[in-house]
Amino acid sequence: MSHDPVDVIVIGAGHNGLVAAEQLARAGFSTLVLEQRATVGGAASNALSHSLPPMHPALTRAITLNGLEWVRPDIPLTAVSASGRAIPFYADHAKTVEALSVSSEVDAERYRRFVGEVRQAAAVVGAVLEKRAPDIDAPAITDMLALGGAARKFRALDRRTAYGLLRWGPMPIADFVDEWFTDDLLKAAIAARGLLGAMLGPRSAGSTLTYLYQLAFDPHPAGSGLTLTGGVSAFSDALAKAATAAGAKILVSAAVRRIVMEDDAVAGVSLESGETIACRAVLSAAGPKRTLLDLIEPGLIPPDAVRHTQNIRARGVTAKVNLSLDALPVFPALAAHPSSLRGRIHVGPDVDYLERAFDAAKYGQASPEPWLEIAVPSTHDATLAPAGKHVMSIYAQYAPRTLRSGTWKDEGAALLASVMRVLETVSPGIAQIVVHAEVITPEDLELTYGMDGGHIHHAEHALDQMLVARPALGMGGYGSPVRGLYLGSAGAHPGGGITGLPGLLAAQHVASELKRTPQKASALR
Amino acid sequence: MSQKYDAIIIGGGHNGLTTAAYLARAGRKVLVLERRHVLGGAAVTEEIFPGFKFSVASYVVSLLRPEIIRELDLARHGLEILPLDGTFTPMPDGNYLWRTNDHGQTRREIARHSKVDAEAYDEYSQAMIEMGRFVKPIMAMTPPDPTRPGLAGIREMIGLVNRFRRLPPRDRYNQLQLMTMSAVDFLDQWFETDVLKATMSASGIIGTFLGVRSPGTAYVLLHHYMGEIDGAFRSWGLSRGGTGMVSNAIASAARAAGADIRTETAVAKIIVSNGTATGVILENGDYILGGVVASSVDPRLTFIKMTGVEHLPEDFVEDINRYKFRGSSGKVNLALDALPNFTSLPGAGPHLRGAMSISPSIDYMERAYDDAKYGRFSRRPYMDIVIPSLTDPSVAPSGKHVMSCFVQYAPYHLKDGTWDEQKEAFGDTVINTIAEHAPNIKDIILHRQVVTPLDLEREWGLSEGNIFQGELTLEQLFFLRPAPGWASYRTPVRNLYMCGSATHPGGGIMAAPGRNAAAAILRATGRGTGDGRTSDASTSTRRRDPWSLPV
Repeated sequence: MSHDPVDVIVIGAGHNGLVAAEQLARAGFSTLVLEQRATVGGAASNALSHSLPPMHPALTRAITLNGLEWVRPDIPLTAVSASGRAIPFYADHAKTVEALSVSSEVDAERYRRFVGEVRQAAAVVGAVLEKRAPDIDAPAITDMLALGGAARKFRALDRRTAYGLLRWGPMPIADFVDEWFTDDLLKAAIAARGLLGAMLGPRSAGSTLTYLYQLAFDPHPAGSGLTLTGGVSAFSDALAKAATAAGAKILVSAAVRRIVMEDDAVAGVSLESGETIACRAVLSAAGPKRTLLDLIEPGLIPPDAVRHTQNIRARGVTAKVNLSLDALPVFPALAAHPSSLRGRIHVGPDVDYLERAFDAAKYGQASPEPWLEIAVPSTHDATLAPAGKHVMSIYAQYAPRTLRSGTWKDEGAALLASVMRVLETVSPGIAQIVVHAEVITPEDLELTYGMDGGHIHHAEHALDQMLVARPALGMGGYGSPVRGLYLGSAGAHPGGGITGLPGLLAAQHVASELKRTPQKASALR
Repeated sequence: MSQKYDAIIIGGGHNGLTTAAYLARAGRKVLVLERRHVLGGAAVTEEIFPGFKFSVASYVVSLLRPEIIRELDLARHGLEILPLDGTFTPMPDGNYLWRTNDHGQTRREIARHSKVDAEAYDEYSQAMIEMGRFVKPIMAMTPPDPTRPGLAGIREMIGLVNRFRRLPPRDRYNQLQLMTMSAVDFLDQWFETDVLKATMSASGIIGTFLGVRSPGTAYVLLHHYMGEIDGAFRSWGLSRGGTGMVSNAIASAARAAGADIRTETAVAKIIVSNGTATGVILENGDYILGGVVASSVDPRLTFIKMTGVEHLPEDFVEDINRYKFRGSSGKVNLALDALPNFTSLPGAGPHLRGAMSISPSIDYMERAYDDAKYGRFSRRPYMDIVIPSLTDPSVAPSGKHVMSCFVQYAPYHLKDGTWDEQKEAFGDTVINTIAEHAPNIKDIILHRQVVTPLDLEREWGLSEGNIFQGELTLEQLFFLRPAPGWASYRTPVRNLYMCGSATHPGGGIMAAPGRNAAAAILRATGRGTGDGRTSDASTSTRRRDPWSLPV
């Protein structure tokens, strides 16, 4: 049995794959999306994500999504400690400043300045990230114009912020928060945002860069913690609807086995089911390593490209725990801020705690005391749990993809125990209301979700893996060492996070390439 | 005090002396003021125990810029570099890794651990040489101000970008990674042998408060590789008579060009009037006038202590206060009755003539760092050990030896206790660590000197004991060193310059900051005729009441 040839096959129906499919279909290319899981969404789903950044203007311009009901918590993040302290980060910065001034006037004033300075810096980073990364070998005029725009934004910064931006990027976020704040819990909450998903500790140089990256898409210092009615899955569902409406076809439970090549170029794909489908181009929204090392037959890519691909650093460290609860969980620290539960909760009292959690990962162990980011999505969306019951979503870090001893099959339970132990310190008695627990390990992220190394961004956000060097130098323009194969996952510029931008920019590139060589896909030989 | 100098240099370390030598050679009337009784700063030789001469602080030479050796004719002034051949890393399992300058031999040695790595070693060495070639010209460059570059700055930046673009793709790739990655991540791409990576990565952390897995440390690898690429001397070397001889040779060159150099003359204050530096006040109350003051001591001493924050913009003071020192290393100097005997390679073989590195594994390096992060010295530290008396017998009595142990991590800020209380415990830890590899060490020690970060601060004026006058991390390099907007050797105070390791391109016995600063001073004050009437100096002498004493 065989599917008709199409112009473009998109591998993976995560947000990037769906955005790419919508764009390509609407540009008139016959487009087929192949998803190995039974549902669309990939990581942009309730099982894996509990919040997402505001829709990027570039995406809003490109795609109209209907029926999205945004949920904007008043307190997007609250940092809590075992001693019962809470620092609420309000959506309204003035309120945060007010709350901070209770314990420290210095921190309150610094936070007020911080909001402004990081917003400015983030705008420059954002201007660089939202455009295609320029090709350093042969920069096109449009690339230069785009960079010129970013350069103008940079020059428009006041000198201190400009220098701040240059200085901050390579800094350890521990030093960065030390420069600004005095309160340990406040510092830890800000630092943690930069660390989520990264194989970095707060004392690792470059961890401020990952924070600036987050800010570029959502300039709230602690993240706006946005979600949707129906959860993050609603975003993917809307994307899938838009793609279908534009004419793309989406096949689920359709795992790709190989990308089929003829005459050194992509000719189609073969599925695990044995089916083959011919196409002119493949846009892969699976990780670059998975795509180039697993889906392409070994030997068909030049050894240098193989080496560079192998060297892409993607060492996942984040595990996801989903709990079904019999009742609303109680956090004593939140007694004064009842609406905090509608946002996210940070657990990890100080920067040293985060660093200690990271220490374990360095030696290939899961943190015995991980730091957590928690959400209770059922507080704002009654459809997610039966009446009176709740679901809790937890990111736990660090859980390294590669364990030095044991396997994730066996260690999942130990990880859950560690998470529960930490959770118990801020929500005593919570174990009694847990009726079901699901642990999604970095191994699951890699094998089931196609994320390279189980890394939620498919490749570490580091200076040497950004812009033109994402995922690797020489593969920065959404192309790949294989003619007709394009990379459009979070592993491509501008990187991870539920932004859809890699998919969007990759699709634009594919469309322009296909227009240059108008021909039909031929059936596979 | 009626004497008036064109330039007063604060600090008689190798950088201060270098600035002095270049200025004197340009015909300026120069005075160097050194607080200690001996010249050299951290590049100093002292006879701590009778008959035993130690390079007390800095102990090896490789970064010293060849153009400086040439231009100042340092060989004529007594500088002689003796090769330090190889790095020997003992391992706890009885094995070892011993790399030497003989490429073939090193390849065979690495092949003993991994054939793949032996292959990669050629490629790696070649790549590092290429990278060094790319970076080398940057060392001699005055960093532009990227926020307000000006025409010259834009030209320099475009020049840099163009040079980068002209690199072959593979080098471009390496360069980018080298600037941003961690030493271990970078080396992981080439090698599989743990002990090889651990030993190589060690040079990425020296003088920083980072671990070998922290991004940014790969650059420091290159910084330390630079010495091997110039052909002047192909690898690390020892200065005959100790590292103090480097300083003495530069001092001799400076004196020959007419510079005055005074020791035991501590500067208390820099005289600033109307935003212009006009001289210095000594601790004994004397003052000396100068057209230009160049400080080779670190920014905290220069600005906060000597200049005074009242003469400085608030932003600048904030930046200087934020500048990171965080010394992370100490030194243990031993006078030995005999040679250490390593279990893994017994006897007094040539492996003792090179460096001995206590860096058996990456985890070992990381655990050493973990201790420091939480405020204690490493229970099992990384060490770089040399026995200079094997190469240069003049530094120890016949048959006896001096052994220099560079030790990291020894964080300046201890969580519990003070360095004065912990000093001997730290020394014991170092000896115990060596004893694990060379058990006879305890029986052959005649004298022991422990140098803690606090000692480096008190005795050598290195704030927080940082051997590079501030961490060599990306956010404190190039146009950010020592403060954003002030990487040009100038300062917010007119006629006050910086010429020490806290300026681009940073620490090590490189002397490049000293030379670059001299060039900046000469540019700013005009290539004078040598009669002392340079533009800045003449301005200040014309003034009736050129300065008033800050109280």
